[in-house]
Amino acid sequence: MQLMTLVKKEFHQEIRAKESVISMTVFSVAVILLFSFAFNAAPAEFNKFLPGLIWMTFLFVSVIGLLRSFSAEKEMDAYSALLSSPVDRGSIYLGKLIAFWIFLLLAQGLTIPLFVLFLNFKISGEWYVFILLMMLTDWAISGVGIMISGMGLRTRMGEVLVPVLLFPLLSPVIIAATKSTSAIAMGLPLSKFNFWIMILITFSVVFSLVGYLTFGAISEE
Amino acid sequence: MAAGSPFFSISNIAKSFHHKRVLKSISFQLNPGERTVLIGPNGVGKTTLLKILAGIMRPDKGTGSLNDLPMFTDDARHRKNLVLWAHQPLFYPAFTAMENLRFFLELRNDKVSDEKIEEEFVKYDLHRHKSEPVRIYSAGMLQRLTMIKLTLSSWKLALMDEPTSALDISGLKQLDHLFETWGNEGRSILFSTHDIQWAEKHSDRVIGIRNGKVELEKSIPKLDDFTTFLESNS
Amino acid sequence: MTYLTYNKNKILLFATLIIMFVNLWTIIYLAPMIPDQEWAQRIFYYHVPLAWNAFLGYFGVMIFSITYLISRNTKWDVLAQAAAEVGTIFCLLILITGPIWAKPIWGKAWTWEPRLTTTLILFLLFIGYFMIREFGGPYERSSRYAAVIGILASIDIPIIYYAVDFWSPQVQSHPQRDMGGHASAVMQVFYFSLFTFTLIFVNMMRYRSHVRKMELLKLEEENV
Repeated sequence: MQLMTLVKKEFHQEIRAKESVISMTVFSVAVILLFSFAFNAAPAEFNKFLPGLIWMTFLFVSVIGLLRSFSAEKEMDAYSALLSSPVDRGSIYLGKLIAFWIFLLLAQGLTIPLFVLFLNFKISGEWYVFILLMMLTDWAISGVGIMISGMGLRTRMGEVLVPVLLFPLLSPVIIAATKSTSAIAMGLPLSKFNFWIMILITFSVVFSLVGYLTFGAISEE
Repeated sequence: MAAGSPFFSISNIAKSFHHKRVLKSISFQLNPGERTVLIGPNGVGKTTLLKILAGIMRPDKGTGSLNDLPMFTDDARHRKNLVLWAHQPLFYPAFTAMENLRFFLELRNDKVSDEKIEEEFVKYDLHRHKSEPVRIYSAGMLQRLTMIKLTLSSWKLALMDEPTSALDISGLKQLDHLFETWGNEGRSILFSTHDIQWAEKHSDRVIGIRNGKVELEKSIPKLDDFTTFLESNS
Repeated sequence: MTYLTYNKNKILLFATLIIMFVNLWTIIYLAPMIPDQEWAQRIFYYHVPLAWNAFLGYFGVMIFSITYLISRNTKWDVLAQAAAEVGTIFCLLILITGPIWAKPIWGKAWTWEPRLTTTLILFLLFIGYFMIREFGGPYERSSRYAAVIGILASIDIPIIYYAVDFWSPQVQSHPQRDMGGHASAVMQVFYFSLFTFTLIFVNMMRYRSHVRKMELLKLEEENV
C-alpha cells in the first residue's frame, strides 16, 4: 500500500527531525502561559471564553505545524522524486493529511491538560465526546491546511499566505468547534449541538474530497 | 507492447512561463535500449522538458505515451517505467542512505533484498556511511547514492538532467559503466549535457532543441553534428 | 484597440448609462415611502442588487475556476480573474452600504448579521485570492492556485453562511427577508434596479476581461 508507505515516511521524518509535534506543543504551552498571566484575576465567567481561547490556540498551533509540513520535501528536492514516482497526487495529499492530523492531535493531547491545570478548563460531559470533537475538527483543519501549505511551498511569502488564506476558510470550523466545546463543557446532550457536528462533518468531507481531486494542480511545479 | 506502437513517444509538447513560450511543439520517439542526448543552447528548456516527462510539471499542450500507458494525465502508472536524475539529490536529508533507498523502492513497489542493497553499497564504497543521515553526505556521495537508487529500481526509461555536470573522474567512470550496462539491458536513457565529447561517446542518437522545437535528430552522431548545431544560428 | 473600438461595447455602455439614470430617478421619485424607515430604506434598491452582483461574480469564479482546472485554457482564467475582481468590488460596496443603512435603523453601524458577516469573511478570502495570484510564481502556476482557492472559497460560502446564521440567532435579520410582503410598487422599482445592476455587471466583466486579454496579447507579442 503506497498510502501506508507515505504515512509511515511522515512519521519516520517526524521521529528523526522532531519538527512538528514538539514545536506545536512548545508554542501552545507558551500561549497558555501568556493566557494564564493575562487572565489571572479573571472572574468565574471567564470559563465562557475558554472554548474560544482553546480553539484559537489550536488554530495558531496548526499554522506552526503546517508551515513545517513540507520542509523535508524542499531541502534536497525530494518532492520531485515523490512526484515522479508512480503514486497519484491524491495519495500524496492523503498521506500528508493523515500524518498531520495525528501530529496535531498529539500536540493537543499534550496541551489540553495544561488548559485544565492552569485555566480551569472543565468538562461536565464525557471526555471521550470532546476527544471525538477534536478528531473531527482537526481533520477539517488538516484537510484545508495541507492544501494551503502545499501551495505555500511553491510561493513567495508562503508564511504570510498560509494564515491569510487559512483563517477565513476555517472560520465556520472554528465557530462550530467553539460552540460544540461549550456545549460539551456544560454537559449538554448531542441534540443541543448536532447542528455544529453536521457543519464539521460536511466541511471535512467536502474539503478533503476537493483536496484529493485538486492536489495535482497544487503539487505540480 | 502492441506491434507498431513506439516504446516512448511525445507529440506537440508546449509549455509557457509567464506567457513566454519556452517549448512550442516538441515531438519525438525513443526506442528501447537507445541512449539519446538532448542538446541545445542554455535556457532552451531542456530541464523543463525533462521535468515535464518526469511528471513534475504538466505541459500546456501535448500528449505522450510510455510503454503503452498515457502520460500527462492523472494516471500515475506510466511513472513505474521511469526514473529521474536531477540537479538536486532528491533525498530526504534527515533519513539515512538505507532509509531513503528503502522508502523510494517501496514507493515504486520494487522488491529488493537487503543483501542486494548491501552489495551495491559495498560496490560504491558507501557501506561505512549507510546509517548516516544523507544531510552530512558530500556531493560525490550523494551522486553515488543516486546511482545505487537507479541501479536497484526497475525501469525502462531514465531521465537524466546533466548527469555529468558535477562528477569527478571516478564518478564519470562509474557513470560510463552504468550507461554501458543499461544500454545492454535494453533500457533507454534520455539525458542532457553540455559535455559534447562525453555525449558523442555515450549516445546512440541526438536530439537538438532550439526555439522551442526539435531542430536536429540524428542517429549515431559525430562530434561535428553537435558543434554545427550548437554554433549555428537560425 | 480599445474596449470602445467595438460598436457593440459602445451601445451596451451607452444604454447602461441611460438606464442607470432612469433607475436613480425611479428610486427617488417612484418608490413609495416605507413608514418606519423613511429615506434610509431606499439604499436597499442599491444594497440588494450589489449583493446580487457579488453573488454573480463569485458564482462565475467557481464555474470558471473549475473549467480552467479541467481545460487549462487561459480563456477561462481570464474570466475567473475578471469575475473575482468585479465580485470583490461589489463585496466592498455591500460592506459600505450595509452599515450606512444599519446606523439609523438599528442604532449601530455593525451587527453580526449573517449576510454581512459572510460578506466580510468572503472579502478577506478574496484578498488572499489576489495575493496568491500575485505571489504564486509564474503566471501559469498562480492561476492554477487561484483556481483552487476560488473553488474552496465558493464551496465555503454556504457553510460560512449557515454557521454564522446559527452562531448568533439573536441579531436582527435583514428586512429583505420579508420584502415579498411589500407593495408591488416597491417590487417594481426593486426589480428594475436589479436589472440595471446586472447590466453594470455585464459591462464590467466585459471591460475587465478585454483589458486582461490585451495585456496577455502584448506579453505574447513581446515574447515571440
